[in-house]
Amino acid sequence: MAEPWVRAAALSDFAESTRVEIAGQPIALFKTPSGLYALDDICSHEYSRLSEGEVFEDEVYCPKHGSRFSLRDGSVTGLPATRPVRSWPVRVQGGEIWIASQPVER
Amino acid sequence: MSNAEPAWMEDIRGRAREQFESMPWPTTSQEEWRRTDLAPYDLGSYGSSGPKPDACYGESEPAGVAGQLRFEAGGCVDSALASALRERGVRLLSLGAAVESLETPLKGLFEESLGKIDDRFAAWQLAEWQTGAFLYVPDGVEVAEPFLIELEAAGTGLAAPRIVVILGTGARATVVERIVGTDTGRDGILCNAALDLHLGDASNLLYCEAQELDAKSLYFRRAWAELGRDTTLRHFTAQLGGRLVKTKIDCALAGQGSDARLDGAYFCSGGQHVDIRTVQRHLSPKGTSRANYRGAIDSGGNAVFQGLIEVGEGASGTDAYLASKSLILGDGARADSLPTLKIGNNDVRCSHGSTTGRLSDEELFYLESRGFSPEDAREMLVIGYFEDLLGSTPTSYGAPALERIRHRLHRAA
Amino acid sequence: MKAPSPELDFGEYRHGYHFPDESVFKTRKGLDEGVVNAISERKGEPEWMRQYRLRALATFRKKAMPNWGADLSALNFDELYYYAKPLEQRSRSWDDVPASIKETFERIGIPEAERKFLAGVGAQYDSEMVYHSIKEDLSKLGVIFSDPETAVREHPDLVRKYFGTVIPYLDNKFAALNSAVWSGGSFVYVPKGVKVEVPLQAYFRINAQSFGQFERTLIIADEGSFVHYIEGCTAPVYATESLHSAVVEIIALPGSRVRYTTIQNWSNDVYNLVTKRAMVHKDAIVEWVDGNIGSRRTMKYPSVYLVGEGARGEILSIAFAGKGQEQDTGGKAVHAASHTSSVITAKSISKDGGVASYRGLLKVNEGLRDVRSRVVCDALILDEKSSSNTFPVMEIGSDRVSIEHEARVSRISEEQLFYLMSRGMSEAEASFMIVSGFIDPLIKQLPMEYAVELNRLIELEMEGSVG
Repeated sequence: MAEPWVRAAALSDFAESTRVEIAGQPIALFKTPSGLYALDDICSHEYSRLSEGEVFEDEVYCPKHGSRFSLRDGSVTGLPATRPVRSWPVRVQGGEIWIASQPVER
Repeated sequence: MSNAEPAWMEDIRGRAREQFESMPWPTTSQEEWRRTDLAPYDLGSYGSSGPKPDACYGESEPAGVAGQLRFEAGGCVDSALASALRERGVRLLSLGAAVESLETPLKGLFEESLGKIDDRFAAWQLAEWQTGAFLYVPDGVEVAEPFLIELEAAGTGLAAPRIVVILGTGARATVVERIVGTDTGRDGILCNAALDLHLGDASNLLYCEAQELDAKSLYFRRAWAELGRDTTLRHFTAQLGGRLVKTKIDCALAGQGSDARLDGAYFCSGGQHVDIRTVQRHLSPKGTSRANYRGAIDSGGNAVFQGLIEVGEGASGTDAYLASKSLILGDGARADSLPTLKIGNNDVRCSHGSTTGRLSDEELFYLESRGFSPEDAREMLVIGYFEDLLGSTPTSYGAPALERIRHRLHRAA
Repeated sequence: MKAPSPELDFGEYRHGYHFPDESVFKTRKGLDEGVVNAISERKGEPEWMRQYRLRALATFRKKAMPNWGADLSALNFDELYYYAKPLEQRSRSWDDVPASIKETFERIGIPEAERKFLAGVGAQYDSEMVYHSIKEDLSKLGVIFSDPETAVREHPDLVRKYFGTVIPYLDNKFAALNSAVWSGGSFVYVPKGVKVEVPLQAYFRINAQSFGQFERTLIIADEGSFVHYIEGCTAPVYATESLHSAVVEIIALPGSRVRYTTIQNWSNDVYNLVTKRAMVHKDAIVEWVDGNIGSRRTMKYPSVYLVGEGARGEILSIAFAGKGQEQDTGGKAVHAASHTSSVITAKSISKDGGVASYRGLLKVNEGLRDVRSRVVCDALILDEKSSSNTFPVMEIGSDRVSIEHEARVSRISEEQLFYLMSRGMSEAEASFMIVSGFIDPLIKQLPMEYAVELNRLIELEMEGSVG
């Protein structure tokens, strides 16, 4: 049951985080010891890019006001954001990162 | 550009153009533009105005109104002024015609406007205006019938109408201004309009403006009003079209005992962004001002209302009030409201109120139980909501506005 | 016991005195990694907190000063001391408190009898919890009331779970500063179903010249619990500026209720820039009662984030702006769930050229139902020199809402004044009575001793305004 996957980046393209565009959507891609994660890049609180935020213990901190989101599912783990961001399925194959063209159902 | 204009006008345009070149487009980091993002729009693509300003002098005799100016696609198609009024010194001409022969007072007023430029749009307007009107009512002349100014904007490109009204001491007039657009299926126009009101002591002006552009056009409007001693202004605006609408009226109660009423209605549906700003600026003692704005926002619409009451140190005895009501008609509508007070004198009565809500379930149920369909019940309540405000304006203004709202409601439903 | 030196007699302002600095350990002026590391080491903190402070310091440097609000141009970060520890050991009982500190409390005017009403007292002297004791019934109930340093050491899981989740260091420049150099404050945890009947209180004082005050308070009310926390402070008058930049985080878990009362009366050289926020869960209630009387500049907007259905937030704010003062206060209510309600009542008084500004936000997320909010702002301007501003913002994204906002600005009515004076009152007495009536809704919400102190303060201020 394959959904259309889009090639996003090479594993070696970035150190911790980067941003890509999949089907017109800005997406933040994170590389951590526990795995690869993809979330909406635009914070749900105010306009800001999560790909530019700090990552700690599988959470990303938005650089503008520090809202925290779980990398695993985009849920809010710290204010001031009150709405989650969408999470996108990620796959690695042969050093290439693929992102599904549909986000995870909430 | 125009080659028949007097040198002083060309000079002012040139200086406005310099200011335009030196400023960037406003961004969301500026307070006034925080809630309206211009980035998605290619503002530079609308070009400059092109044709020279019209010259029409109000030659024909109007029927049922005091005077009339009509513009279509930038050209003047009708210009009329009652001869009885002309004999008493009243003037209604296109601004292009006025500039030809009325260096006094227009040069002074344009210089003042140059000094008031505070963003790129204001500079752009002053540099590029083409159509427009000039109305002058001399001391003591009271005109009962309205003056009509209509601009039909179609096609693409830039429309930049500018209207200047001067009322002498004790003068009285009513103006109904309409900007209407037709959807040509193309990109729509960018309309950058300006209104300049100079009201002498004890004068009385009722000014009703309506904007009904097509769903693709962009509309930017600045209005400045300066009131003298014991002057009365009633300004009414209806924002009923456009894809992006950003307006501001700055009303200065400069003379003692002046009275300003700023009323407005706006309908914002899916895909529209409407950003309206009013300023009640009290500079002198015993001024009275009231602002009353009502908006209806449908699903997918985005509306912002910012109303400021500013009372200077010398404005003792000020009585100012602002009311803003937002009616939300469906899910996915967004209404922002920022009523603001800056009060520098304590001998005042200043207050504001803002409410946001939806149509009353009880009222809808009542109408439906009397046989009205849900759509008709909704329409009745929304029209009633606006009728309160529009009811006291001239029929030539209120009736088409309500009709337009009815039309938009049906399209949205 | 040391008496205050004669040149420090500040006349009618009875809180205007200080003791020669007894601080044992003080970092050097200014702020850098060395200072932050020294603070962390002095407190014996675990590595994760030290790293947190350092990240906050990096953020503090990057963040810009706010380009709105009160005038902060005279604030010079390089001239402040960011830490001083007065005693090497914390006291456990009242007898062990140094005499000079006891005298401080005597001078503030806390009656002997008042101490009985206190469940536990955390007294802060130059950034540290000097005296701290928890009454036995609180301990038995499982309530934790300590300084945050102790909480970091003794309840690390609880602290790590919540610390910084309501106010992250990235939130604003002053939250970043506090997160880097915080010292003292309170940590409160109330277990499920426990209702703490007696208010918990803490006192604060700034005492070293050009000294910064950065207490950090974290209150966690577990499901169905109740607690009322009271904070009130005084400070001596100094020539150079003092900075008070606190952070208060409240987590009200489902069904709980937290009331947080502040009466701030910093002397007129203090910059009081505070971030206070509550996360209110399902069916929980948070009430902020915020009185701002003193300080040179205050910027403070207690907030409620209503994240669970049935949550309710209430903010009652009063600000008094006298000569040379700017009170920029208000509140924020963010509705992130259906069936929530908020009420914000803000009253301000300005006189002698003071500036009182209300700044508030009411935000309703998209797709919510049954959200109600009412905001009322009332400003009293007592003379022609003073001014008042109101800057409310409403961002409404749902249609099933009822939102009302109103604001009024006025002065003491001549009719009322005439009426009272015709009954034999002097103008000062009549003015005071009218002003008293104006702030009565707030006074009613305070514990008696605060009500009394506040009334006395207002009376003192009013006396200066007439004649």
